[in-house]
Amino acid sequence: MKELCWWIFITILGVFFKDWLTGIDFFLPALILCYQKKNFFCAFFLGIIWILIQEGSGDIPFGATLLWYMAVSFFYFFLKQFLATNNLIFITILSFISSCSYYVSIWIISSLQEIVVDQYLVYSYCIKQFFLFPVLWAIYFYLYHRIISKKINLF
Amino acid sequence: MEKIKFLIRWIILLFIIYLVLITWNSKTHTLENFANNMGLEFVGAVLYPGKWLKFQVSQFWNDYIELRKVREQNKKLIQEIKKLKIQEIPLKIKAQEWERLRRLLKFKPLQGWDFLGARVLCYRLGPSNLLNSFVIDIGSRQGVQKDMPVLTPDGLLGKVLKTSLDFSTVLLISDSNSRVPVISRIHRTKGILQGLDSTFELVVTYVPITSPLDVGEVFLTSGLGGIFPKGIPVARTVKIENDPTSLFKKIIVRPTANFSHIEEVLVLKRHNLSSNKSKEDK
Repeated sequence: MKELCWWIFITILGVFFKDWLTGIDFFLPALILCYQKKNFFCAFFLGIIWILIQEGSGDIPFGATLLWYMAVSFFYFFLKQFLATNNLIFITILSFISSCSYYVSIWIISSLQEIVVDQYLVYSYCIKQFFLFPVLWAIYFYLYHRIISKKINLF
Repeated sequence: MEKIKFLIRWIILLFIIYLVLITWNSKTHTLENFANNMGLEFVGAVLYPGKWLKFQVSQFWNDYIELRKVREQNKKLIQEIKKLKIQEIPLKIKAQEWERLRRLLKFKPLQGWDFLGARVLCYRLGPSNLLNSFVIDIGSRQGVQKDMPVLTPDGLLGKVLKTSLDFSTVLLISDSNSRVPVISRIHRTKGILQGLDSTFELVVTYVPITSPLDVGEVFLTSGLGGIFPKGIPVARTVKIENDPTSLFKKIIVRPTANFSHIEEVLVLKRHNLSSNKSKEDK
């Protein structure tokens, strides 16, 4: 119940912050946290809900967020084979991959759907995402352990 | 080696799943519609009470601050009211005259169209918002449909890009994916208005070099595309460039509506002809 409330809180907070800080995805670091906690059932449903929120509230054709989340999820499990996941270095690498995946997914969708997208805006979102992804993950990680599991081991 | 094989299998599987989903969606639009109804509706439902609460709190705080100044202002205002009451008498007469003239003119803008008022809820939301768009607080339940024109009293803003039950996304004419057929007010020169991803400047293309046009002339919607009604002011000509190597003029225009401070908008809805006919029959 506590965990359910936590994820609902993150979802609502994510929507508010999306309005406040343009171009930042507040859900992907939370999804990674879900993977790290090996809560795959929760990650699956939350992933679907967050993808639907992103796709529904977005103005580009359907598919970009789905591709982006799938790519980041794949790279998470790929990197997990070689690196420990519960540290900031891993998250920084994943953050870089996430930004690149975002750029590629936007490029694929805009090319397929023949829409013109402001490249500077995409670059700025990528850069913002790269720098804020580890910060957001660290905040979620800290709060999750503080509120839900009462264990903190950030590094 | 086994790990690599396993990963390759996963890549292929994910790729196939993605392709199947996208292909199915492009045919049926099921996922897209579901995402619109669920995602946009959820975002709207979360943001709407939040914004209302923020407004109420800020208003309460402002009221409290203002209350401290009210006493001094009250004395001044009582004196001012006395003066204004005397000044009001000729204005009342003028207002009555204006009302009579308005009735005489019977001005009917945009025949065959209805207005739906809407408030702007938010602008760019998250990394999936890369176009010049905003969200308004009316949707398909209130009769909003895709491609409906959106405007302010100053001019055209754009059209409805997608709708959910209670919220809609509006694509601005300043977006580079937007095209609006326009005609100039005085010289009746036709062209296609295109966005440049800037809120201050747009461009009118396909205007032959021989077509007459003046700087400052206003472009109106021509009604040719079938989406926008004829005669809505869109933009004012700022710069005309004649390139001798081109067959067309390069016309830079500035939108008549102010894109930076949009709070309330009007959504144009076509009259339902069949229902009108049935009403007439009755």
